[in-house]
Amino acid sequence: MPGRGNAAEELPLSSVLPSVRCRILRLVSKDETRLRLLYIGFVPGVQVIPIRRSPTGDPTAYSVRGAIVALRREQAEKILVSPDTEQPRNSETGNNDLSSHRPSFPAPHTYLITPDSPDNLTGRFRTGLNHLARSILLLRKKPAPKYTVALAGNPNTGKSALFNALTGLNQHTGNWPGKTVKVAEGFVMHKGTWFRLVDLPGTYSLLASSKEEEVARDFICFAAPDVTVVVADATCLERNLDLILEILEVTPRVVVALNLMDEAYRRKISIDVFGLSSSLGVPVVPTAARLGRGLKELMNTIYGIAAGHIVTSPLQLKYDEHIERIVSLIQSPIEKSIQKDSCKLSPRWIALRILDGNPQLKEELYRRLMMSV
Amino acid sequence: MKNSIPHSLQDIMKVTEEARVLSDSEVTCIIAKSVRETSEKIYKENVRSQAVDKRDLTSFLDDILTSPVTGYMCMALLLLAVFWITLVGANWPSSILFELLFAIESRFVTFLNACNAKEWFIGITVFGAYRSLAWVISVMLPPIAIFFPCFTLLEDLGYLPRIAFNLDTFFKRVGSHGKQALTMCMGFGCNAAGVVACRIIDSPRERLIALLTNTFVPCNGRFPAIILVSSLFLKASVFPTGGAGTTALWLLFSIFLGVAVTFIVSYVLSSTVLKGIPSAFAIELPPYRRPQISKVLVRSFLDKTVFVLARAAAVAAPAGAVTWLLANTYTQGTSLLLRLANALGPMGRLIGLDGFILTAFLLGLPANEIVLPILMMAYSSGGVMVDISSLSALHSLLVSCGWTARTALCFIAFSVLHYPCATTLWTVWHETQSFKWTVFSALMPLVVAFFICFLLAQGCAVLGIA
Repeated sequence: MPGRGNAAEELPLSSVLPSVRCRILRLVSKDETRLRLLYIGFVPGVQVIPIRRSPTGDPTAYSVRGAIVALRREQAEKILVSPDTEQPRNSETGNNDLSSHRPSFPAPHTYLITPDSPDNLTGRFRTGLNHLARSILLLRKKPAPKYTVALAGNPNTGKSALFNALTGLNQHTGNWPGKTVKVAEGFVMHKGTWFRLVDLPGTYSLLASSKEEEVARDFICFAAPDVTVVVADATCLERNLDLILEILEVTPRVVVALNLMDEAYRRKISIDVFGLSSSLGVPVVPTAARLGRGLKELMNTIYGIAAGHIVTSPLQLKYDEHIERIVSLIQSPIEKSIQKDSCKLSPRWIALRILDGNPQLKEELYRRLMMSV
Repeated sequence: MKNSIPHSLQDIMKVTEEARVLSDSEVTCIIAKSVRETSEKIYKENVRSQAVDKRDLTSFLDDILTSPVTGYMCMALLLLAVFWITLVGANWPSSILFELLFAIESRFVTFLNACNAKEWFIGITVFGAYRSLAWVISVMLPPIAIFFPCFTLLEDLGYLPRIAFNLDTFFKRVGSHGKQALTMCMGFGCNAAGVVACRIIDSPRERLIALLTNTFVPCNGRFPAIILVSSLFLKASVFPTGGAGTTALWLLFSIFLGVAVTFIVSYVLSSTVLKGIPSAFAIELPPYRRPQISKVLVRSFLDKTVFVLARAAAVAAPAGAVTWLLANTYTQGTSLLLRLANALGPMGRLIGLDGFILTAFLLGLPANEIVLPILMMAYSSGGVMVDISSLSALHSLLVSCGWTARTALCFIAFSVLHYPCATTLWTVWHETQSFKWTVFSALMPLVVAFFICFLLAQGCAVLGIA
């Protein structure tokens, strides 16, 4: 079974000294804590490096998959690791084996976002002014949105900045019915069509269980938006990919907005946007919301998907045979019990979610399925 | 529940349960693992990062801002700087607004008189509603308009999670969450905003603790009164050398008192009413980013300042009108306000205050800013909210009503610890959706305030401090 190999070397993460590389073997905690840790990125097989301890020594910050997350000792004790003797991961320092057959990525000039272009300040000022003027003009018209677009993404990816840049003043924040989570809604006019943009709360996973994450999940899974934009942080893309993959399992109508490209450029991270797009099977649009770059391309792509001009073929994950067998077992009864027209979710997805057992999501699924039965 | 599920679904559930028993390892883990492996593969194929200099800006700043030596110092300095900017920067616009609004008031009175309006009508609208509205706006708007942008700037910079990271140990000891430090910071601006900020805490138990104790952090609305009272009474008698420094010291004392009580109450709550195991704690420490100053200003102004101000104005005007009515309605020669004050007198004296102060706090429920104006209105027999232009006049008014250093001390303690204002209570109700917790959030601080003030008053009496 995975992760049970080196039982002799298992030690809790809390006992690892700062800046010692180690790899997660398994999580020993149960239920809620385990789920949270999993969705934050503490997954078996991942490399973790303790970075620093808090002044008083207790919460310790760990570098995991390009992000820094602080955990208390109680949580870190639940994570069993073994010291990582492997060489530093290739993707983090120059990637030698890959670079042999792909010497350098083409830098598409349309996508190259440089923060230091000469017209930077005046350009930003001008776009800002234009935006303001347009927003005020638009405010006077009453929007009748044709398409609904959901903005999802991990926390701290500049999702709200993107939302603000797209909608300007044409937005309002309201509490979601029945929940106390604030969800901002805004309207954009593009190519003569009104779009309703919904800025969902930041979430690491669709399967987690905090209030915010439930709102985001329910909207993407059950409200069936015309397009879902997944905002990803270009500077730590690997962790963001988890959410993208999860959303791709739910709906094919997805655009990935690769945000913070200016930051990635500054940190000399180069991303093969076309390659990424073909790996994922959905359009990937690089943006720099803070500088107002890439917004037009993003809106074009959103429009294309909403209007059906762009057809996507999203990557579907394959799990190990054990899980695939169980899924195929329960998939057919699910297929029979749901009505195709009232439930847009795929039976495979429902089967998987019934399997991986987040109680709230299960309950929600049963409730929704019963309504459509 | 089981019966209501159709057959096929029941079968599914059965199969799933069996599958879970069958599988050695947790399904969740396997699924998460294969998702991760796929992302790693895609990442490796498409992303190339050149050997990044490990000592980047974020880790350099973190070395300073979260180190045992300089971490707390930087934090204290930053917070002090925010307070200092708020207090100093607010003075000047405050006085301008004040003069402007009261200049309008006299025009207003002349206009109403010209229209032959009844005297009671002028009283309610101008001397009651308008005057308290003007007071609230001129006292509240400048500090809020400075405080919230400063705070949002720190948030945009990415510093706030570091505060939670630095202070988590202390919150862990009392059974709450490190992010409570952030909601407390927010509470310094406005308790209602602090209560809303409690949403950032994921687990319900810790969120409720943070929410219920937020009122112990003195907000912007209470600072002016605390500063005024401490500058009038406490510097002369306690520190004979006196000066602006001692006022700041008393401000620190009030903050310290509030924070200490927060910790104690959090501990009591988490070991009694809200007992439970601490939930998973994880905060992400995002890289520092250069804040977008102009956007921060616009956003924080629109989202917070206008929101807080509109709400305060909405409650201040009716409260002013009610106070004026109470002070100017006479039954058998005494005004209702006076009767109320007399009724509350014995209780007030027990905790080092008097009936008028308790009345002011009671009428000041809608907004903490109007406590001091109501108090002055009650003391001066005129029955109108007055603003006494010179501090010495205010001092002699308060002294003639029996104020001593002990009264001032108890006033400050009561002001810090008493129940939250009506807007905060409303927000608590909105956030918890529970009548029970809303009532609890009002009564619990009141009990604490009475207890602490009683201790202070009796302690002073024993020590012989007048």
